[in-house]
Amino acid sequence: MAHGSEWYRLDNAAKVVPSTMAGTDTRVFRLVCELKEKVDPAILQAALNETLLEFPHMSCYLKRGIFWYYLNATDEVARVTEDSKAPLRNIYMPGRTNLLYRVSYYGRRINVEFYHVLADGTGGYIFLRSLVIHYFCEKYGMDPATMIKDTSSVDEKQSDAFSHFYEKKKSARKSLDILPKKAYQVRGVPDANVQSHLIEGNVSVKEMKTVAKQYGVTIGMLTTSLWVEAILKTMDKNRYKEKIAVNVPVNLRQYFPSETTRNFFGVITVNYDPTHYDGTIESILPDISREFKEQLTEDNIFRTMNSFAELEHNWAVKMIPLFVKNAGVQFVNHVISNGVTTSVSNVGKVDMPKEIAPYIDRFAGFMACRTVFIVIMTYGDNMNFGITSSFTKHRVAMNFFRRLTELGVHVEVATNDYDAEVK
Amino acid sequence: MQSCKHCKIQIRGNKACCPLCGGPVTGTPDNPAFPVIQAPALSRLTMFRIALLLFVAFEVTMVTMKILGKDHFTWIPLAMVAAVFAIIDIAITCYYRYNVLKMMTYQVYLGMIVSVIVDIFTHYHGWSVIWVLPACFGGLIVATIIVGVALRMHFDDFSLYIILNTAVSFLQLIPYFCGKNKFPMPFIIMQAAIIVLFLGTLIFRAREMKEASSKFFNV
Repeated sequence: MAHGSEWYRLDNAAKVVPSTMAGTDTRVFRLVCELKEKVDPAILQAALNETLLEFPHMSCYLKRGIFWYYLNATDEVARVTEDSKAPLRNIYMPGRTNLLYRVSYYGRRINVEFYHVLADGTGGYIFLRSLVIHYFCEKYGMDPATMIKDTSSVDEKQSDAFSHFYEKKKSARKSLDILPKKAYQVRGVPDANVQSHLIEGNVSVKEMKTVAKQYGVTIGMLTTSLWVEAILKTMDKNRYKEKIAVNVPVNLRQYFPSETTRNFFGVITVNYDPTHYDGTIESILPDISREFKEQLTEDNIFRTMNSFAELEHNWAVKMIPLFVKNAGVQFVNHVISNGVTTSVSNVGKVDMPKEIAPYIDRFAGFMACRTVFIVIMTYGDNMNFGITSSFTKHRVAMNFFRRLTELGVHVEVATNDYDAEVK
Repeated sequence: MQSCKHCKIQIRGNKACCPLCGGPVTGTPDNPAFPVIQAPALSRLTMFRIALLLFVAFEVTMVTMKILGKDHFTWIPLAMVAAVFAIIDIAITCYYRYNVLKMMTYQVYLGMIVSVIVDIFTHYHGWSVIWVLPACFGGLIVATIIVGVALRMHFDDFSLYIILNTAVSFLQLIPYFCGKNKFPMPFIIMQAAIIVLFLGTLIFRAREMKEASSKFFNV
């Protein structure tokens, strides 16, 4: 376990996270594993204790320094609790010394929520995977060593990959390029209690593949196109001059060999001109496919990675006191947010050891946001769309799922609102 | 499982209506994926609005009384200013409610600023710089150590407050050299005590202080 005096610098992506928290965008993400049986909280707690031995850097507090935040290690382990409070609520509160993740259960579901300072989606998934493996090993007396193939050391898991792969000569985007043009903003009635609404849609991978094959695109491109169309249907015609900009996080571990569980992602922006839309999905797919191809080049990925790393290598930025930096980051984030309509994050196919695969039903993910955000996770034949909305009505989600059912895909929806017990 | 004939979807849990279109649902409820979250009786926004309304109502009442009383109530301006500082103090308390040391430090600093302002606007007798500031700095440093020890905090978590308060306490040299402190003995004695305390901490806890500084000043 970590010692109380140990501390870590924040990775380059995490450095701006605390400054960009606002309203429902708490910068918290939730990963869910739904089992085929009820969760035993005592076993889950024991599994968490075991898992943290492999991930000691997860146990830390966020502290403010003069120039940057930093993470203070602790031996404290989170207490597993029943999920009963608002999801994706704040984890980090200035001045409060608390852990930056929480583990809860509800019925058959294991939920882990992370503050984005600690890990990205892939890092969080690696942690959840290990937790679930330990859970079943505790419960059925299996040997975790045969299932956890991960050989990375604790140091590798907590390394800052941005700094490791940064190359000064391959310069990032010019500073003015990172300030995007204004994009369409999804509107709605915000939640009065500033709480996130979760909408989870579950479909068959086979059915999705059939539809994607029909249009000759990948499932990721199809989903992004359907999501764009769902937003288009909420737009007034007089707003069609505003582009739809979709942020797509890219897992940089696919491009740079790294075993880190901390943040290591880049972001590409896929743009769509609403004037091209003629009411059919065929008028969206070619534009989205082309955008993906243009954005997902090696050079562009390198530049997006470097743009995060440059922050740490800029002495002028480094020497500005944190409270001034925070104000600057908040302003830049406001401008950048106005250039983004929504985000689509594809965590990808979840892979579990064959010994425990029969006990697991599905995985899901949700990310806190200002407007709407969709996370895609696939496990077996279950494809899960985890939609987070800061609004009380879900027009975008309705358009999205209605379109899927029109295309012949069967959809099962779960939400954390409109319960019969709550008037 | 429930279903919505408009959206043609299956719905988990027990919903009052379709969560997507708001239309009626049919079928029998089943295992929910999420717990039922009860909405708080009073949202944070409502509490903020109530506090703001009380503050505005108080200030307006004071102005009204001043107009109607034709300057009979001489204490009204002081009450209005006090209300402003009270609201700032409540805001500091709410914002830093999880960090006792920071809350305490900011409140003492606010108190010192208020005392100097009041002294200046009441024909400056110098009581703020002679008595209040030395007492506040000395008391704050002692209180910081007591709170840190009582809450079993890591030394590096509260040592930075000691460094900060020691450094800021030297600002009292400004009124001293400007001749605004007519009776400097309390300031000199307290400052000497603060320096001894700081040096003592430095001698006994140098390693921890260095470590705390490396975290705090990391670039």
